[in-house]
Amino acid sequence: MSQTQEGIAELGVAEAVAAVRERRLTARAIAEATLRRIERLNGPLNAFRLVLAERALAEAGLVDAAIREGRDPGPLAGASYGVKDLFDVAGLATAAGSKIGAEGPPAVRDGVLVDRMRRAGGVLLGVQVMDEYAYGFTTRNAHHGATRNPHDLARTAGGSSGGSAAAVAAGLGAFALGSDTNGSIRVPASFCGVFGLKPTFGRLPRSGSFPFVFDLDHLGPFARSVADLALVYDALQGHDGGDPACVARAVEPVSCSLAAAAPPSRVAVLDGWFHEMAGAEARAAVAAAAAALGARSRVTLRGAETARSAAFLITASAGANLHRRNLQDRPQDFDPATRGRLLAGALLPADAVIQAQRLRRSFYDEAMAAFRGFDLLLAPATPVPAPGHDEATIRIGGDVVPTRPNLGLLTQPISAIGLPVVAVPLRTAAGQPIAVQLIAPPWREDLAFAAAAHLEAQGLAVSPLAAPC
Amino acid sequence: MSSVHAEGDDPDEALVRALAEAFDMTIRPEHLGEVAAAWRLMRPHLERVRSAELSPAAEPAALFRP
Repeated sequence: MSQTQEGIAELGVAEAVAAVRERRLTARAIAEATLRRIERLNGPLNAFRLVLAERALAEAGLVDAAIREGRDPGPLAGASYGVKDLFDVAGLATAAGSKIGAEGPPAVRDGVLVDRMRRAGGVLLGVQVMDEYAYGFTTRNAHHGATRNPHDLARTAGGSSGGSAAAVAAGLGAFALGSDTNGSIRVPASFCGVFGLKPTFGRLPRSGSFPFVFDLDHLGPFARSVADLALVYDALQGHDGGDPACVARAVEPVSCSLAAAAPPSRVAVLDGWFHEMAGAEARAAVAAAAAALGARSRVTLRGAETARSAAFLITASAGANLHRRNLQDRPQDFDPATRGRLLAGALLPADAVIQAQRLRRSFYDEAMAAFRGFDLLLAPATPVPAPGHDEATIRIGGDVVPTRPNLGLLTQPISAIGLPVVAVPLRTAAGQPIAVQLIAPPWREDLAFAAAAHLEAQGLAVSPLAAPC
Repeated sequence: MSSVHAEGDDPDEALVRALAEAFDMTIRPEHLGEVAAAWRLMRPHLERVRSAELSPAAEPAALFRP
């Protein structure tokens, strides 16, 4: 075997699966190399809250046994991954980034998506740092520390799935699973320079994951290539009755047709809110993606700013409802960064929250009208590249605004109406990662994947491994 | 808002105190400042949502399925 330990740890999903299936490497060798890399890099990055070495080696052993015995080891055989701290993992309390959750009873079984990864041959490395209860865009957690951006430790990884995105960017696993309520996959994908998928609302079951906002929560994967993202997405799909919002649809795989898929021809750039609230680097990234996809049209979705406000209120209100008892009984145990917002959410008038829900419907209708003329819409994922940890303000459209509440202003309107998005990482002129949202009509993840593959083939969308130390 | 705050009070803190009392929510004095700050952040969103014009036929999208 000629590969170095570091080279083994850096394998992507497809590379790891091929190496294991062709018996060039064992799943155990990949798990051991990746665990050593985590041991070396997790200190400065703080991507993993818990590393599950024993479980990883046991799961790798099962994959190797299947290979030895001539059984199918699964489509993700030997690919190692981590999960955001809100997925149930059997035997662990599901902390969801909180002190309160960490003190709760251990999960009796894996969440449905974790179970699907195990059945597919995935090797779980551990659980990853997040903003408390997923309520944030910076992964600064009073209980578990801040996750640092592997491309520049002085900058934020984004959030709330920051540990997951940072781990993938640094090669601490071939992929990761996160969640996105208002942008929590797309924002860290943008800052850490990895591919991220927020599927259509209702596509992937959330059974066995800690909720935040029932009618805005999505689960989805991160990876370093479009092919890897597609492989994981295919293995995640399938209905589960444990999530009442999960729609009973057939699995619609994308990985098998990815190489042959032509990018959509009717592509437009989102104007208005999505242009005005984007900084120069974000606009340049969208322009580059648009040129590569032949998009010459611009579309304005009226009501985008209002849809963002609707998502803002629904989130605060639903989060307050979910945590009301603990907010009353043990408020001192919350992260101060989330406590104030959750308590404020409990004070919102009901009519405003109902109005917000009605506005979502109205904005959805506006988006559907746009999709009558186009198959794909482009928008920046974040208004700026990753800010520094201590940058309290950012400049957007000539205005100086607070950083933390505004990092998701371009993602919130889209998740508010459940559309599928692949966040593709580009580079600014200065070399910083920044992502573009490829937004497709409901249930047409395939269109976003085809466009992402085209941008990757053009060399525009790239996710090179970060070398943080 | 002015009806619930006394002279010298932070008006947002006073409003938060009044709303908490009306909704039977306990907010500890040491947390009042951060709740008021969150309320300030939320207010423009509340105003925008409230002032948006909608057709009476626009239904809420709770547990929304595209």
